[in-house]
Amino acid sequence: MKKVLIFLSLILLLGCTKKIDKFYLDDKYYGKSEFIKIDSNNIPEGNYAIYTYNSFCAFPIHCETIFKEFMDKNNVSFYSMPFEELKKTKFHDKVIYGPSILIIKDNELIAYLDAESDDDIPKYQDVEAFTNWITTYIYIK
Amino acid sequence: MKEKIIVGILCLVIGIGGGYVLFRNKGKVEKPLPLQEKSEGMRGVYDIDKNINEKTIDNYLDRSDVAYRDVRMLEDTATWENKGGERDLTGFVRGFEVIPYAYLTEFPEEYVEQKKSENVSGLYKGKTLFRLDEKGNYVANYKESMEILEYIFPKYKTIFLMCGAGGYANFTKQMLVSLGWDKTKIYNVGGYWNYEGNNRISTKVEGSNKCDFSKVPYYNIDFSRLTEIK
Repeated sequence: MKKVLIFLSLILLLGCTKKIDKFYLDDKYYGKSEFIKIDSNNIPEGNYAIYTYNSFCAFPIHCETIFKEFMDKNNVSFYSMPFEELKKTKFHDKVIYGPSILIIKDNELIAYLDAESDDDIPKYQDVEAFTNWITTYIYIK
Repeated sequence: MKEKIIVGILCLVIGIGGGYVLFRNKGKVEKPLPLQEKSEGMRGVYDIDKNINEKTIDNYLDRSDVAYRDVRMLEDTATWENKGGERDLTGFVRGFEVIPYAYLTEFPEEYVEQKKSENVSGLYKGKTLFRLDEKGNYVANYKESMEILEYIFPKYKTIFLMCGAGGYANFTKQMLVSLGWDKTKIYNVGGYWNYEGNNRISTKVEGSNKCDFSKVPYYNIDFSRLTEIK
């Protein structure tokens, strides 16, 4: 009986754990580290990341500096877009406030930093926390 | 006797009616506001309120017990266009009166440096009512500074602060609290850029990139008429 219960618990646990399919960004985003400016009229296709920003980010450590440090260390590029522009895209259905990093796979939003979540504050302020978060979703080369 | 009764009734009616007309707008009791509650996440770091903010502000307009203040400049001196932003105050929420934070006090040095690193330069560096000393205290630059501040931000009212995205409103709140205002009566209601309600007033002139600031209720501080403290 005990064995059956353990087995059922394991099945339940595995069933409830959402599997994250880690993936590579498109090749062109590796090898350089830069913010590539885009607006709502030229949203790219494929796998990529977008940094969307407000002009008020005035943390002791600016979040853009944290993201750029990750990019420099791993030679990876992100798109960048003012939040005013992001509001005109489909991503605004989920990303209500900036600044944020959006991870896009096959044109769909997979994950993002939530400016209204206490859990995400360290990811805006610490390279290691940000790296741990983003590398849950994407591979670095 | 009959005449006296009629005159008496008339006086009563006039008295009650007149009193109603005179006092109907005075002492109006507003519904209590939700207590302040910080938003979660980064918005909370800026002290943007969880209950009264860009998404809900329409439910809290036109209150007689609230002073509504927008702390952006009509035309900002900084190069916000380098970050995809705008210099002009292209719109505001009805009922908010504009008093730029930049004229209240100087920007913290670390903020100026941060903006430089983002390629935003030229933040306003002109005259201000207060300055920051080396210990981070606000010091009046003019004899009239405090009087002006108390006029614009009446202490007997609740104050709703708004700016572009919540940052300058936070700076303003910090300043007011440091100068003796009651923290519990000052709400950072967030930024106009996140506003999606029905009380937006656009200053943009149709078919042009220009703005018409005559629509904006604005506190003009004429520093040349103030008495500088040396």
